[in-house]
Amino acid sequence: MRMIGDRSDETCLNPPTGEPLRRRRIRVASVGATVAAITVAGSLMLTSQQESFAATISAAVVPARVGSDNPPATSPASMPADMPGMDMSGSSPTPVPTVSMPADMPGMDMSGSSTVAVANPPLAPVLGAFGGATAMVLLTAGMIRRRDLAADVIKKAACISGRAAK
Amino acid sequence: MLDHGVAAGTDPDDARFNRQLGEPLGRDILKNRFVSALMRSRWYPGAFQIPIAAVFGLVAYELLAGPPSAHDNAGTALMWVLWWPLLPLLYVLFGRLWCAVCPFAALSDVVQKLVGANRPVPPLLKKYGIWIIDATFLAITWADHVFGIVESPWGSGILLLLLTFAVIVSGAFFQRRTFCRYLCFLGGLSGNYSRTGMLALRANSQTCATCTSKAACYNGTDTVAACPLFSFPRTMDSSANCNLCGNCIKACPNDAITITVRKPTHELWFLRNPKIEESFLAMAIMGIVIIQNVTMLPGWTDALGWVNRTTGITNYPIIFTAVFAVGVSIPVALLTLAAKVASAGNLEDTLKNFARFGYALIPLDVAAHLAHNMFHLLAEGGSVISTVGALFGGHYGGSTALVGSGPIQVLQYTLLALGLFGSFYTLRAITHRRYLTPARRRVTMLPFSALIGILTALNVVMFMYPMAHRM
Repeated sequence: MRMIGDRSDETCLNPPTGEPLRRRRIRVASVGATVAAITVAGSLMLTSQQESFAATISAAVVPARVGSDNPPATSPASMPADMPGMDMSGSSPTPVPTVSMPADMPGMDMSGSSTVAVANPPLAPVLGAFGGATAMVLLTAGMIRRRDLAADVIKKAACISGRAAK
Repeated sequence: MLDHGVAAGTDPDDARFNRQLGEPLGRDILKNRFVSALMRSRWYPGAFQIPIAAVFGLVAYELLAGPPSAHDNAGTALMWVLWWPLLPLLYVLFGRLWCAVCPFAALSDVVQKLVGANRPVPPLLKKYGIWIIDATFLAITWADHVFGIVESPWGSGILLLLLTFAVIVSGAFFQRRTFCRYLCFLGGLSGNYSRTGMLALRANSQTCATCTSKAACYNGTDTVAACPLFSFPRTMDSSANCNLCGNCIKACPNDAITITVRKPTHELWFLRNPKIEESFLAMAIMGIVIIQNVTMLPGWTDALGWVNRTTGITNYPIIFTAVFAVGVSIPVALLTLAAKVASAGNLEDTLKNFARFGYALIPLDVAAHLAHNMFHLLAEGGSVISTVGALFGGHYGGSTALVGSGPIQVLQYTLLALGLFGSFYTLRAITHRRYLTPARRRVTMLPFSALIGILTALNVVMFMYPMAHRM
């Protein structure tokens, strides 16, 4: 399973044994199409799931303030005392913001976010950007690889024909 | 003639140092039939990669689409309470073995196989790769505190997506595992820590001298892939860039590869080619551990309030950036100071001292990091049971703490004591191998011993206080 780039011992007498270019082209296109399809399908699926999830928790969640870096916290009363994994004895210190310090200061949530419940930010654009960028990278790399292989084939063909002419 | 027996312009210790043999090899565990069969199996490491990739897939799904609260999110628990704390321990026990089964590496291989352009590694990456790793590690830690990556499943998910994209780009365009070797911030950490690891893969130089296989261990064969981390076993004297993937073992026609068990930190004692960027990374990690500890202490909020009252600055990113810069700079500055003091006596320049003796701090570094991580694992490990159990319909109503704070502190101090001992011993070994005269050894040992003592004391003080939970 030698890497494509490691072709130091290939010579004119060892013509490339790789798959035909057409098949490679089909493979590259299918990879790109698959990634794009998965991205679109995943985005749609997650968007619908988020909507349903947001609907279920909306009653318990205070709407996020515009421009706030920190997610809003649920009131302790809305939280069941026996939340799974919750150490209610609480050895962790709970910081109380001073008057001079805004309560929504990012990073000030030293209570370990255990009381935080917010709806997920929209995932569709994130996954769309990720999938789109990934598909572009894969297609570009595939095209470069195809071009390299084609150049390799031409070079070797020229080499073989040169030998034959001699 | 100088009083340390070193004539100006020449260093008699150089000749002696250059004559010294490298790290002696211990017992070859490849002689064990089971280990040999495992390492030579065509299913290794794939058989481990597949389930781990599946778990990472679940983690990514949970982070991006699961419960928005870190407390309830299995992805957060698996990633930051189980996997992350266990990593340094894996490095000490097995070197970079994790990198062989890492799902990101598997993804890189798949992308490469499908569409890889296999371009050579850019010279810029080869030259400055570790500095990029240093910068990435610092940037991610900074971003964690400013944007709350660990506390936010969505933030952790985005981090995973960014890493995944970087791996795909690297796999699509560059040869082998360029990302793992030159760009992965965890790779830098694992490279440093695996020097303390107990497994070492090396080649038998006598057998290699007669080899006619055109470096099959490095280039691969028709059936075995090339070394993913660009290491040539014949000349390898460090485990920093070996992930024990077994490719060289499968490819070698002469069975010249050995895997030996050694004492932790053993490799550091025989250090030959120190690099300043690796020393810097060791110090930066020490700084990061200090920062992580400080921000989890009860006094951190008071300190923020004090800064707020004193300076009038209410912007947390600004305050944290300043604290972060100071925190990371402290170990680097202390090592520079120690190197400066030592250079006055051992007649090597400050940079050489910085590069060489920064490695002596790695055992303490690993110990402090492990001690910090053990808190997360043992004090919050219950969250893994509860959140993963909840995924499958289970219910766990117990505490997140697996053990009490007392045993955790005992473990933390034990680890620190081992790290202190390891660092002192490594310092002594490096000094004694490098310098011949007692005077040079003495003036070198003193400042670096003081540095080790100061950093240990700093960690001891921090672990005395109760820390805030993450989950």
